Amino acid sequence: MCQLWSSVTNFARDIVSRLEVKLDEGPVWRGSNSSLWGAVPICRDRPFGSLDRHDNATICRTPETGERTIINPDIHRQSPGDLDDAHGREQAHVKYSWMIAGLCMLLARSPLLAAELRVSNAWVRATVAGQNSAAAYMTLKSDEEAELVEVTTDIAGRASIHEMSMRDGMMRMRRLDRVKLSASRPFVLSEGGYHIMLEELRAPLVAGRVVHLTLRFLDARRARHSIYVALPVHAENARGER
Amino acid sequence: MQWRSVTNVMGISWNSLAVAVAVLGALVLGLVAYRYLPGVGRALAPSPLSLHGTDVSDQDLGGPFSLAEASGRTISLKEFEGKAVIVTFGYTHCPEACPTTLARLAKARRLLGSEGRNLQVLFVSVDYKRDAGEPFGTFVRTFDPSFLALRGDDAELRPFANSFRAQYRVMEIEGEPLVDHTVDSYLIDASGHVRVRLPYQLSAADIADDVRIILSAPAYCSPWTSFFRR
Repeated sequence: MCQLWSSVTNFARDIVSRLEVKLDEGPVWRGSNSSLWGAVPICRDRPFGSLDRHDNATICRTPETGERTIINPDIHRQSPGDLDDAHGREQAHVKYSWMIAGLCMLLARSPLLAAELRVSNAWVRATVAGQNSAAAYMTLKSDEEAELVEVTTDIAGRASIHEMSMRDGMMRMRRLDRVKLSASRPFVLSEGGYHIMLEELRAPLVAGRVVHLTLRFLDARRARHSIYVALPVHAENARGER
Repeated sequence: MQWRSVTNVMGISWNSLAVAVAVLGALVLGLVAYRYLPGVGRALAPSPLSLHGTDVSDQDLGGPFSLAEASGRTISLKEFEGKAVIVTFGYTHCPEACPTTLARLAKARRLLGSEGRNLQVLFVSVDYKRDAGEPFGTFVRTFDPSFLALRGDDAELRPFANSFRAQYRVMEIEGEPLVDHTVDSYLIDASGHVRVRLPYQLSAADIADDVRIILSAPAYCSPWTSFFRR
């Protein structure tokens, strides 16, 4: 089973890495990151449910290269109502995927492997009519020193990391080219602080939908990694305000 | 005999001179105390309003103004005589602060119920280049159809913002505009006087309370004080 699985992923990763080399040279990459799904189909087969932002992310590693795709679990959660009738199915599903995830991790146990980067609490604010930019929030937890160097997405013309600060009734905005992630402390992008600014949106962000971002980061050995993050679109913040 | 002739020369009696000097001295001392000892001024002033925001009635903020609305029509403060007006600064590409403020103001207006008709919100853009035409107006009206979107170029906006002691700055870094601005709002009473600075953190209920207080409070009318402070 695992042999079969790893040969499948190897094949998929081969294609992906070829694509990546080609596409990395131009801005075409922005639209192409969905190919990363191909490398880890296993994390994808869980049912899509309603959205909930307060949960931890699932991590699945592809064997050998250590390239990881993190899928925000927010989109896999079911609403309490759904959970009642689908409880058994959901439980079995969770168990199953954890088993597979465990196998993935076993396969991936290699000294060459870099640290894990966990993404949690990811969400993006819905746009209002007339607005073509939005802020995305999430928590990044790396278990070693890493550096977030780029955010790309096919939903917006530009994605950049901003730091907002509020002092003496004045809101100040600053752009960060890269962000150092320390092993000891999670990097929290949340309201009133850091956010990923998405500008020149190609379409309005409607509450209830899910959009995707690709985070590019360097691990402690300066090796490049990509993480594909799913972000539910919310009209309200955690305090229930619009 | 000697001093009596002196007072006779001036044509005033010593007694009346002493009284006049005492009265004048007391007046000057009182004015100085009122102006420079905050406790004295506060004790004499009408009882303070129990506001959630900061009472800035005595700071002479704002003043008459006219700015262009998103559609091009010129709007002046005079049009809203008899209504409470809230002025707030922002821009459409604002990721967080401006939508939050507008949403709170819209909620405050709903909380006011029928009194909400007596509240006019003016959203003033600090991003003249990007906030133009219909999209800008639509953005502001999405929160509440009564809200007005105003804009002005730097020459118009700078003195306007200064009159509220508000600040803004638009920087362009590699073609990407970064905007800094004051996020507090200003509540103007029915006679056009800026009464309250509403900090960003205030909830919709607190804003509604302050609007209600200002709508029912007596007009800030102290020409003598304002003359003295100038």
